Amino acid sequence: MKKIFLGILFFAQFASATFHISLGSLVEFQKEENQQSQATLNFQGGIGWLQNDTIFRLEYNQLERKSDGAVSSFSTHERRFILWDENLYALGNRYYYHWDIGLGIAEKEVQQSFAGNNETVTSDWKPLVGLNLGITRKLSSIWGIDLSGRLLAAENFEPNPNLGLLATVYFLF
Amino acid sequence: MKLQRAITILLLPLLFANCQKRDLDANAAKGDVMVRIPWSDFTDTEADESTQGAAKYELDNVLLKGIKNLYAMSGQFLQTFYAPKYLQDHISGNAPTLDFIRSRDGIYIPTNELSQEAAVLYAHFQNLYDLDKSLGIENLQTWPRKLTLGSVMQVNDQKVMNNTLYDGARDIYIVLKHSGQDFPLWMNAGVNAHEHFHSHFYKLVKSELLKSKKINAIVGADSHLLQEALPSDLTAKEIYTLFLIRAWDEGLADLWGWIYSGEVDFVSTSLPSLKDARSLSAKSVQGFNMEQITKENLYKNIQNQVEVYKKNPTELNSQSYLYGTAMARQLKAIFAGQIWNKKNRIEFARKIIAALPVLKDGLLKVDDKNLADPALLFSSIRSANKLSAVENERIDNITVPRGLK
Repeated sequence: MKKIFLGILFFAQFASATFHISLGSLVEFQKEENQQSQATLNFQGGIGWLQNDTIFRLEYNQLERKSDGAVSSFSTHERRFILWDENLYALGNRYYYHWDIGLGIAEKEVQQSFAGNNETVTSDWKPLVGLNLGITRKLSSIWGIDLSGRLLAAENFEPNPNLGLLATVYFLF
Repeated sequence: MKLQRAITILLLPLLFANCQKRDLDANAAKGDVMVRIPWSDFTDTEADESTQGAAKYELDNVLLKGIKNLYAMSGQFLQTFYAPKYLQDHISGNAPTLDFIRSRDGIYIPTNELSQEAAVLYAHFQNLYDLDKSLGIENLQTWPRKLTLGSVMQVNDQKVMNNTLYDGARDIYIVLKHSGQDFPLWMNAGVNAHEHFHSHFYKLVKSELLKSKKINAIVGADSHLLQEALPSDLTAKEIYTLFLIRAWDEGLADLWGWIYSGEVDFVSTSLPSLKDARSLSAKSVQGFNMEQITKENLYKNIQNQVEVYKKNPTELNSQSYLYGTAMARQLKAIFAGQIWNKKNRIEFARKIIAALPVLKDGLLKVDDKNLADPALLFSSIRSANKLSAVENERIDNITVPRGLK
């Protein structure tokens, strides 16, 4: 059975020479053979700082998935804090590529509903690692777009890692 | 750049270390694993006539034993496959990919219905192993039992879901995909035991009949598979045998569902429209007219309907279910009476299992010149077991099957 997570991140970054702030939301499409495809809207935010060519960015993700069965329903919330270490490499005048590595923690909360009873259980915070690969097209001196693929693996959460496609619009001031 | 390289070199081993750590965590979900699933503590209840053993399913902590991989739901008692290919005598496919979260007190909670389904089924087959063991027949089956999830059958260009069946040729249970809002069959304790009984019946009765070519592959197949047209060259006698074996198999399987779950109306829990037709309750009146059951009457009826049954096997199927249920009600009244407790239900199960080899021997003696007698099941139970005077009297006093007298 395959799980496909295709995420499109609408993500605005505001960065100065030394400071960086981001806000966005992720539309995640989850297609599994056993479940109908579903889209979930998630919140994402982050702050960061620049040091030479490297951006250190602390990101917060909050994801929510709902899954309804015949007599049971499930609602899963996942919260992640990830510290990204990012660096841009020039590919000609306007293009850059970057590969980023992140470390973080994540926790999950699941609500299982059955026969009129709702039970909510929360896991411990678990370690998480992320790998992000992207290409940036600089469109002017202050803004551009970025396309990234992301691999996340959180201990004991997803048997298969998340694979996302992130489209980022950033503004530089 | 130097800083980035240094950080990367430091972080990459952590990435692999984390992968290794995940595996270690998967190891933690091995052996005895507590899960939170919909469950009814029916197997230990002392149901009586007033409650009819009605099960009350609610979220409960259930300990799954002998787990090898929780996320693929495989272990000592069950190995699951997700929508595999059904080849001639085996299946080919992968395990499902399941998802649980581990709570802070170490209980695994499914995060979607497929994971919940797999956990519930594992728990039932673990308990069914215990039932087999209490009857001394745990070695009759190969453990772990194999079970497929998520399949949709294609019959006559129509998609079939919401059913479960046992496939004797491949020795697997097939739990078709569930749709709709009715209580899922896979969650139903009695239904799982019903299917497990089919595997007992197949191994103790059908397999040897198939080997000796006393019955053909259609008769040997699970009744639920029989939804396409029957071969045109099937004789009335073969259809008669098909009807009778199917009725015994289904009727006894319903009794097994009650023995395991204690729930008389377990079928209607998931299939409400079948309450009158399939209830094992003596109060239920709809069913086969047992007054008419003699070998000759049955055969005559089938002879008259041969062409109808060939074109529309579901009609034959319905008739065999009705007869099976009527027979099951009689057996329950004879051997279980109004005593509902688990100990007595197990004693009843022991009598049924003891009778199956005798039933098979009786069927092996049937040749071209004679027909299997509907009374053969009753006489097999009588000859395989030392019955009490009351039980013998009850058998003697039932008006049917008349062939027994």
